Amino acid sequence: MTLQLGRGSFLDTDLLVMAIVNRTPDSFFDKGASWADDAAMERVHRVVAEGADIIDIGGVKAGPGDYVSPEEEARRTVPFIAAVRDAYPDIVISVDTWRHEVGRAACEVGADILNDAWGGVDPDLAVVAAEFSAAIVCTHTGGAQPRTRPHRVAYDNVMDDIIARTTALADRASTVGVPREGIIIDPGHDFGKNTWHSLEATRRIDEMVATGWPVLISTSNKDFVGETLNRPVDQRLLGSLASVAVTAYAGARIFRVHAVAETREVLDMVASILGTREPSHTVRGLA
Amino acid sequence: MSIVGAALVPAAPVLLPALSGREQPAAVVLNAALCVIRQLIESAPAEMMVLAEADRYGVFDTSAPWGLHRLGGMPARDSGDARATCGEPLPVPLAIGAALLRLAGWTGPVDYHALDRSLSPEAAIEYGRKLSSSTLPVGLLLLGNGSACCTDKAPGSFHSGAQAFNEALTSIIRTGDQTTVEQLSAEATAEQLSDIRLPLQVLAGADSPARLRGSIAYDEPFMGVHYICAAFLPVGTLGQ
Repeated sequence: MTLQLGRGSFLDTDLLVMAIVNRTPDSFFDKGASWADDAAMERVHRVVAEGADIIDIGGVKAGPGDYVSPEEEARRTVPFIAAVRDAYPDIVISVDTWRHEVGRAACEVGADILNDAWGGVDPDLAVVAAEFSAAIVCTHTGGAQPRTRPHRVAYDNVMDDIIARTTALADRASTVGVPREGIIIDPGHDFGKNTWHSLEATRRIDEMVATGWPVLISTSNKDFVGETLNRPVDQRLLGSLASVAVTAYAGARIFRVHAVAETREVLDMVASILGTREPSHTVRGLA
Repeated sequence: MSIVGAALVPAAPVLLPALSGREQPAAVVLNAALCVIRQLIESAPAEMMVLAEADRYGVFDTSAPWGLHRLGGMPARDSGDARATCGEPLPVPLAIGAALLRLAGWTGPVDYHALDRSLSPEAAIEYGRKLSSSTLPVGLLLLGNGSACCTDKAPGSFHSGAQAFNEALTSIIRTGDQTTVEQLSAEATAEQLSDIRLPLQVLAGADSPARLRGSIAYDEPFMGVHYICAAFLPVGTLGQ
């Protein structure tokens, strides 16, 4: 399906890099590296130069921590979104939030995507997306509440549950008026899942692709990578890239990552293997 | 008197070798759990009753499928659950108990009791009294953990009352203080993300007047969850 992500149009064969820019003092991987305005904008400049297609801006860490009010979340994200929009009028901007108030304020200053990483906890978020013709990401959490950790979660069939819940969210988004070409589904690695569940979701991602909804993959540096390879959070790049390669080959479209340049290169290679991207230069055996 | 003994172990999927990965990070806890279950088996029950908190009440017999696939695992690995896959599977905590019993070597009959979390302390104690009226010698395998809020990285994040809660539990187990067991509330245990209340209260009802003495084999937090492995055997048999 051709993607229409706010002001950004993308071909069926495009593999898109969504760069994570956290406006938090305490996120699990970067631990506040882009908390300050200057550092955050510097990261935006860098990831754009490295080939990011989408900038994903979040104001609340995913894990448990100090309460962040909607007002504080908006204070962290909305002025910054406006600044990024000024600096890059054509770049696609996403806001990582489950709250419709924050989504609305973000769209008012130029956000294109509402990245609902907690899977429909606030049903009005999709209504806001429709109102602004923004795109929306429908994420599977297995019913987990925002900022909670999974504890002995179990699924009769994890991929069946992922597909049932995300497509239900996608159908609802469509019903309330979000353009179909702007509705994305995300298996929600680590969210409401143990490592086995996330591995299975990765292994069976082709089943999500087969639903016809574009699939977003957010595996960057997550615990399931760390547990699988026994790597601390700062040593999970290779495992993360492996998951990007596997899911891209299976048909996923958007990849939310910390390491933009490395991911771009992996996706270029996958695209060439798939036959959708010409190699950069081919002289071997051809001279 | 039909209750010959009891064992308490956590209903933690990470204890199962098929689920904990190559490095078996919880091997020490598993060994302690199997040790107390084997002590229970040595007390010569004719039947085991496995009890754990669950979303709703239900009793299952030996033929119930475990359904451990719901927790994941290697696609090609034999989970040890090769029996019938039809029918309603056990609630997950009971499935953990079933697998641990198997690992400990128990091959006899088992009844699985899913205890509705909303059961009051009084009702739980009465439930235990009814279990003890069995004419067969019965062993009780209780599944539950202390606070799951012991550290910042714990499943329930950190709770300042976790340490006191865990200390109260270990005191209950060591002293058999039934008054304190009865006072454990659903609210307090839920706040600690603990599933130990009903198993302990059922035991209190089943072992009344008290003949069993608790002996703790493991009493430590693991990944922020306080695990307790304990055997409850008649006074005079512990340590033999």
